[in-house]
Amino acid sequence: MSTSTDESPVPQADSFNEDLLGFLCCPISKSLLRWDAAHSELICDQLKVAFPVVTGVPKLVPSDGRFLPEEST
Amino acid sequence: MHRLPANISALLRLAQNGRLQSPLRQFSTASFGSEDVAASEKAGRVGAVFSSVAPSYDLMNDLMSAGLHRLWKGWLVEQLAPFPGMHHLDVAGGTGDVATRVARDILAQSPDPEAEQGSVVVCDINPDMLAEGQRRLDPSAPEAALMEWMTADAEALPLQDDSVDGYTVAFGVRNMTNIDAALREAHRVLRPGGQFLCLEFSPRTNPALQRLYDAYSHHVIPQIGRVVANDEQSYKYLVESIRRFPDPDLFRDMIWDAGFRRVRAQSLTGGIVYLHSGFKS
Repeated sequence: MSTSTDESPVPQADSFNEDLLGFLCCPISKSLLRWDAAHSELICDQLKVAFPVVTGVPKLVPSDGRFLPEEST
Repeated sequence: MHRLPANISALLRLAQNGRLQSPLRQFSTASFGSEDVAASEKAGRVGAVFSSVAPSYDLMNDLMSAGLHRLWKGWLVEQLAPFPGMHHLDVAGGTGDVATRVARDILAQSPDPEAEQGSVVVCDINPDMLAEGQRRLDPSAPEAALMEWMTADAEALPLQDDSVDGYTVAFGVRNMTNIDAALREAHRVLRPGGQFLCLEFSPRTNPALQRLYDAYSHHVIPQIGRVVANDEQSYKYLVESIRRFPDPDLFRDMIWDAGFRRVRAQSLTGGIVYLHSGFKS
């Protein structure tokens, strides 16, 4: 009998309920947020600010945000 | 009337050290217990109070209110009248006491386990209070499935307009720097017809009770804080912050000014605590 994989995946430490995207917004600009799973951050594209999600808990106080570096487009 | 700046360059001017600050904080003073401090400082100092008291917060509530806070919160949830599929927001409710009651009540009203259950978002500006709340809640409890936890500033909520059915805040408004801003945000995020409910200690009560209340709050509570939590100063702050809170009539006017209607201030337990409510029309 194969035991190479578990039947149910272990929840990720930084799991985020994406259903929340229908309710949440940037606390400053009030625009919609984008979930960046790779960095576990919620991105406000309007302000170019990222808010962290730590062990599934979004940190959405304005001072929790960090400015994203300017990207060349 | 303060409005958040619409353009990004204004926001960049407000940013300090690459981190954003709530715009209003930098320009005003606020009361912190019996002191006046710069508003930008109040949030930090209040944060320190709540990080210190978090582990013993609910025990402290029991002692400060002789267990009455449980009854008051029960009444709050009853007035809220949770319904199946409700999306609720509890603000400054870090340890999750009110939120878990709301979640249990939503489930109690839901006959169909397959139907949309709704959600209860608990937010608090202090992550230590939230962590304490999460630690206490049994993850296998049915209400845990409805709970969402996040840090947020009541004066700048990270929620879309008209997105929640109910908004509660229990013993949290007096810690806020700009109450008018918090009330406007509450109005913004509620859907039309949604209810705002706020439980808060009254700064003054009837004279007969007042002397007893003063003696108890000034002499006994800080000592309890010292013994229970080894933190007399924080509990002095908590007592003093009640004294500086607007009078119930003034607070009711502030709720009206924020746009709520059918505003009511209901006195509980001889006027020690008020339940303020209003609806978004």
